Amino acid sequence: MEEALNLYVDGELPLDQQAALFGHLAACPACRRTLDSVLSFRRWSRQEPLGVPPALDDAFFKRLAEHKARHTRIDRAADRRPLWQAQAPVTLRAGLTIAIVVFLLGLFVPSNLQPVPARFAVIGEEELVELPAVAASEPGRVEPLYVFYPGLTIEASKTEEPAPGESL
Amino acid sequence: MIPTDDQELIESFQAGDEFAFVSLYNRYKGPVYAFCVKMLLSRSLAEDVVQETFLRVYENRDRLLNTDAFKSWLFTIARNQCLNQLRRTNRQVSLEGQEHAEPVAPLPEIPAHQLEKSEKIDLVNHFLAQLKPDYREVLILREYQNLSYEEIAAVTRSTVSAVKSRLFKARRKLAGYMEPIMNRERQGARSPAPTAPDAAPDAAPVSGSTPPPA
Repeated sequence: MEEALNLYVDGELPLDQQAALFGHLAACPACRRTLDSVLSFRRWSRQEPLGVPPALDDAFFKRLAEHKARHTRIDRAADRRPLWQAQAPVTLRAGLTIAIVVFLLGLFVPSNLQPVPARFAVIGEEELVELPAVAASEPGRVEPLYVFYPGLTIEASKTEEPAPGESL
Repeated sequence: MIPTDDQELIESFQAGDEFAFVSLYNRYKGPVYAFCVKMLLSRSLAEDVVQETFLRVYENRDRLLNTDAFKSWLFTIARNQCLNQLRRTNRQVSLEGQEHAEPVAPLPEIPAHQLEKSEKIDLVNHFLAQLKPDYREVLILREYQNLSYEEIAAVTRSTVSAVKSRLFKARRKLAGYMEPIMNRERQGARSPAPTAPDAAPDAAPVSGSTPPPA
């Protein structure tokens, strides 16, 4: 019956259930006292003037103007970020301190790594190519040809001076 | 044309109309202020909270997707600000905390009908201070703001059945707090006022009050 009593106080009790409530109230002094108390509280609470003081408007519009002047929209979502996603500005002093600490730690870290031997890439080979046929056909050529890879380079040696009377 | 209903005002406000926001502020500052005063039981704290509430509304206007729910959204912000303020001022630790144990003045030893208006207001505040914030908020939203169960559930982020349960418990406690005063009222009504043992008509001002029924 307590629920019906509260619904009645709130104006939510259907009409067809009100007769049963009134019948119960007629026979139940405790519920009558409860109803009396609740209604008295309601009467008393409405006696208090709760007008908004004019100073509130002035203070609010002043704050609003300051807010607009700053043009800063406060990101409330940042307050709700989890700790691991929190972002905070770091001062120059803190940044320098962290850098120095990391540097010092790096100095004292033991290094077990063997020095990596230097590796040289062979970019080309020299190959001696003898050209006996050429040498036989051209007695003036006495030096070999040099061939370089990967590109092919042929160094031609100079030939002997032509005999007097020979045309070039 | 100046919009008049809430929905038009809110849509204009969301579109950047500052006058619409001022209209909304003027329309709702009274209910929000009354709610905050009763929640915090302090007018100065309530003024701060009202300002903060409407600033949040201004900042977060884009987050209101359902313009029909503006009133619930507004009171939700005000309620959260009040709870934050209560936590800050250590009036109440949390919604799950113990009931308010602040020492209060003893109840007046006179029948209710002989109380002055200011004494009744003090008693109302005294009884509200006895309630936990989760009981207090539903009682205030119902008794002062006349919100429906559904609206209170939206404001407090709970269900209608939970709202009813808390409201009924709050009223039960309230009836218990008022019992001594109401008993004196009934005893005064049953016996002639000059000879009532606890009426003490000389001990309290009776100006403005009605004489006890014969």
